Amino acid sequence: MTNKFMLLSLIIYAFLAAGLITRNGAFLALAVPVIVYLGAALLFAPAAPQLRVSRTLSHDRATPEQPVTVTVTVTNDGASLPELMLVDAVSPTLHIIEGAAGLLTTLDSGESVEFIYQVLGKRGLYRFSAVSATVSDQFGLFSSQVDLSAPAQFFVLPELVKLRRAAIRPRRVGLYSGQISARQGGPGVEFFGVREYQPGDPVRWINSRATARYPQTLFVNEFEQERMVDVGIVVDARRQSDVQVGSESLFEYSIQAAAALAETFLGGGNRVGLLLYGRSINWTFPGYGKVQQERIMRSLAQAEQGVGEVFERLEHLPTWLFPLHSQIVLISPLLPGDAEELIKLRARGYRVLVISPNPIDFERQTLPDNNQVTLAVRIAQAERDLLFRKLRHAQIRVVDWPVALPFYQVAHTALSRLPWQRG
Amino acid sequence: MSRIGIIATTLFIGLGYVLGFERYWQMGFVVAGAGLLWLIGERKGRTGGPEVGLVTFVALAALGVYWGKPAIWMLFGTVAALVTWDVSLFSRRLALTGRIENETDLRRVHWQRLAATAGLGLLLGGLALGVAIPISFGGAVGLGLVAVVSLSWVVGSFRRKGN
Repeated sequence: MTNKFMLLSLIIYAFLAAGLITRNGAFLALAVPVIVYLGAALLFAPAAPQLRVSRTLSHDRATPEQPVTVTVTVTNDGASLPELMLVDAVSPTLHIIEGAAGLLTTLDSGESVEFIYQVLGKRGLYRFSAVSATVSDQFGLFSSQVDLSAPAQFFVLPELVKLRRAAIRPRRVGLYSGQISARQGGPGVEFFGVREYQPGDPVRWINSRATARYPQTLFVNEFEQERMVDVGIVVDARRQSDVQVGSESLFEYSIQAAAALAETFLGGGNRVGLLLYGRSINWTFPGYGKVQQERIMRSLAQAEQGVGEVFERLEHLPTWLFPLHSQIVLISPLLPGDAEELIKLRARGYRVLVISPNPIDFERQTLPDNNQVTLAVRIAQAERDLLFRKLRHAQIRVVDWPVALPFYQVAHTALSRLPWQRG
Repeated sequence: MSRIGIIATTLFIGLGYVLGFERYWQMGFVVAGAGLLWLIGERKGRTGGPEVGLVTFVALAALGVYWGKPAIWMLFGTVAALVTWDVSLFSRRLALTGRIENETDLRRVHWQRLAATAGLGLLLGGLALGVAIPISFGGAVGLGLVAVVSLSWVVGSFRRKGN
């Protein structure tokens, strides 16, 4: 029963009351068409709908520029429906680029109807739950609404930038072969040293010059072993470290860098884990290969910033999740108090690489060009440089990323080779 | 279509007032003004416009009957207002829907039912105007109470069903 029904009932009541009070039959005559209208609606009131719904998505994972086609099919298993309104609940952050997420139709018994639409979304996980079906009579006086469950979901993964190389060298290496120099002699490519011949060594390894100097002994070349390593990628999801400019957020750049680095490290055969540090701790357990890459990409797709009093500073970074002496990659614009915590990490033996999307450059683009702003930018940049100097002094690699430059360009310059380091 | 309906409603009720001559014929201007406002509201797509239009014209028709104006014109006006209100809401419902399947069928069936209902309502209303059954005051009150109670029962049962 709708508001229309109530309105007509009130009109009928009013006519009846007026007729009774004035004892004028003409009022009752005026009520007759309204009563007939109401009666007709009652006569054709629809029965409770018996509908079946199915939903298919063209992809269960997509990139931000890739549209996803949603197809919804509704079949009527009950009586004929004179007016059926179908509305699919679409997330408000999804943009419908083609078609409509609903339709109005008549549907005879046993018939099916299908509606197709295309959506485009930003990074995230999008869930579809139910299709709302409203059946009403021709006059719209009586309606009955049901939610038809048709769950589905898809991920819009972050943009993936391919990096050629990201050079790291943690002290701890794994058992399996990989691409990271292990500081141990054995089979490999790079020359490591010379040792005495042992039975089983390939003849081509014999170092003829060294052997010539000591005729009693055979010497062979030794190569540096290349192994896989453990890498923990930490994405700073604290809201206070983020900068918003219009609809753009610096956090999205952190996500982009994390995706690119995860892909590069996993491609090198390393074991990679992901930690989102913000409102709470979201940990993707370390793993190898494409399956792990998919896990990390899905985790990054869902990553959101948050405010958590406990996680205001990096001091609660759960270091126990990372094996000692492994590589930690922190992606963060950095807050003034973060340096001490990072230095503590380094002191515990972790190799720390910081990728820092530059918040000053990011915010600068929207500010007016005047002396005050220039001065403020210089002061902020000086503070940031000081922070970086402190970190570099503690042998923490820091990559300052002015986000106007593409990440692959910055990574190519800063990460393609290792800087000289002690220990 | 709803604009034609508004004009027809205004004409019927306005004529009812003007043709009644003796007194309150000036109400014709009020009816014309109300019709104009409804037209403007309809053109701008104001929410609640059709409801306000229906209630206003039904009230004007009732007032006309009370003042002894020709009831047949008021009946025509009431039916026209009801049809206009229905058509207006139907058009809005269609306009709000992203996609309409079988639109021609949907419109055709709606029009057929509306025409039949309006025709029947007009016929029965006209008959009711022509028929005079003398009943006592007590009888009239009794019948009125029966009507009110029956209608209340119908409304109540639908409300319970809806819940």
